[in-house]
Amino acid sequence: MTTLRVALPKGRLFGDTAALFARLGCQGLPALANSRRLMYEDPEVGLGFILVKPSDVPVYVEHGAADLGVVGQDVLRELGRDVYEPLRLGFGRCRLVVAAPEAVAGSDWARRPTLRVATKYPRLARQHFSSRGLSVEIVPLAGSVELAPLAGLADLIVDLVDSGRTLAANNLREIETVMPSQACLIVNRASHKVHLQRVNALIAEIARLVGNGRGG
Amino acid sequence: MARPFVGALPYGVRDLFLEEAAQLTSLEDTWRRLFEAWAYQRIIPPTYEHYDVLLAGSGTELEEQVFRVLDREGNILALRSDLTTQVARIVGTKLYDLPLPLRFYYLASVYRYEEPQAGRQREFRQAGIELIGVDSAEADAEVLVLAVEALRRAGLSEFQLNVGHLGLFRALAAEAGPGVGQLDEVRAALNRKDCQGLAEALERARVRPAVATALARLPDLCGGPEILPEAARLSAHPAARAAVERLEAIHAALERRGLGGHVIYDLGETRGMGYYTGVAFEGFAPGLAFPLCSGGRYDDLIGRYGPPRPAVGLALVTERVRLALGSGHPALARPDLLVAGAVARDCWRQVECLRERGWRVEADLLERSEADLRALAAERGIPFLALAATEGQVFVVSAGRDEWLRWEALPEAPR
Repeated sequence: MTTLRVALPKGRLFGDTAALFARLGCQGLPALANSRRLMYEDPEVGLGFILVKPSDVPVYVEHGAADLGVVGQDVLRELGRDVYEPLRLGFGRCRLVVAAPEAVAGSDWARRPTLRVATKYPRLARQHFSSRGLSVEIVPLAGSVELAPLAGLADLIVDLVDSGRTLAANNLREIETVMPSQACLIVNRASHKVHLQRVNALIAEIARLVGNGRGG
Repeated sequence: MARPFVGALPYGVRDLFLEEAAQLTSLEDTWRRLFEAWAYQRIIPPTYEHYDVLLAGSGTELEEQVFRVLDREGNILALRSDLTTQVARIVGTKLYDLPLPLRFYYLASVYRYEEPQAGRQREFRQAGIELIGVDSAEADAEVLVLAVEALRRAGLSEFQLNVGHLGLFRALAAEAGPGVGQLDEVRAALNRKDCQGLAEALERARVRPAVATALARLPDLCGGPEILPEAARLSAHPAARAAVERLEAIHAALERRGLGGHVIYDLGETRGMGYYTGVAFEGFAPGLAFPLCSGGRYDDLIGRYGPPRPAVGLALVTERVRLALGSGHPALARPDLLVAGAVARDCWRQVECLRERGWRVEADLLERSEADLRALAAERGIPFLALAATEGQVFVVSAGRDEWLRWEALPEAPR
């Protein structure tokens, strides 16, 4: 039996993902996070794991360096990679939102002559505003997006919100939702065809574990 | 702009040489013989054409990927991004009165402005066939059989053809109900096999419930021929019925040849070129994340250029097949026989005769000594070395033995 390789995201989604695969019988994952190792194989379950940055998960899977992966829908849509995403996993729920300081949020902001938007999601932000007919300037950032309006870099931000505490702490108010997001399972197209039965069985097993009848 | 280093290459093209070039040539030779054995005739369209003319066929799908060039009169030209559109133009405007069916094959370079991936650069080789004038399961099956045969003869044993049919989705879309606009979102979710996203998209598009239930089943209709009966129950629409019946007939034709094991069916896929109208397929091999070949039926394409003709075709991505075969670093190809300079000069008739028998014979142009020739043959693993000869006999070093042999006593070309 060939080992199927799964790309797991470091960071926010790792804990829940490791817990999910532990229920499938792969016990070594928490240890993986605490070591400097980035690969781990569980021959009994027939799965191997690699640990990568969340935004690299779809890249590994699209190129077949991993057969499956776990990644947030926000990251997946932003990257627009061609992979199957047969299952939502029900954890890592959050929203991608437009937020702004009260001075902007409480104003007629959409009519401002120029709107600068700071974000880690330039593609989704551009799509969102252009679908509303708004011309904006996108300022792509790599982190601490909440800082941008305070420092005068941007009027608005598009960023991920979980509890909303970070926004509040930086005096930002949520204006509208770009998309809801949660972790999902993704599959390489060729792996799906070539290992059809195993991949389908694995998807069904995970669907059962996350209590998802694949309905909603 | 600074002048590039003399060895620089633009992103997206590559040089092929030595073994790699030889392997590509031999693959294309293999496919040429295969296609000709099935009575396909070669067609050689030009490398560039009028942009508008190509776009009229291929539709806007490839628009972003087309390399555009201006000629000196300011006309927009396009490097071909696809051979099928060109063949359709030729058949529609020039060959429309020939007796049908027509069978064409091509071996050509294609240009697409996209990220190089899995062995495919922005310029890449395609080998393909087009079968024009017949809309039947037998015609579809012929093309699928040739896809399997082409991959087998290339030396692959493990591969899978993933066969879908656009008819089922289109029939269901036609029944989706009044007021249903674009189903783009539904189609995108189907292509991602995103069941939950599909359910949401169906709700947003207000698709009639019975049809929505059927569409929601599509992602699971992926597997062996056993999924076809269920697909048949999804819709009573004649086009949906016809699509499933077509796949059943294709499967029967493949089974008859013992090729059923190479094929799986996937009715959730609505991918492929925008001009596909019926069966559509892609080939995958283990370890390669991108398709090796793709093809499908395009009954409306030729009609955009002339009298309509049903047609079905296949294109193999030559570099990806090579990659699936596995290949090391290119090495210098090895001849079968190395002949000393004097032998090549004095006995050219006999040497020529060997070449005609299929031997690859390399003449030593550097007048090497016997010791150097022996060392060279050993180093490059050349199986035969001729050090001296007369009209009747040749002194051959082979497999560690030195002996005088009659020229005719040399065996058939090794390999």
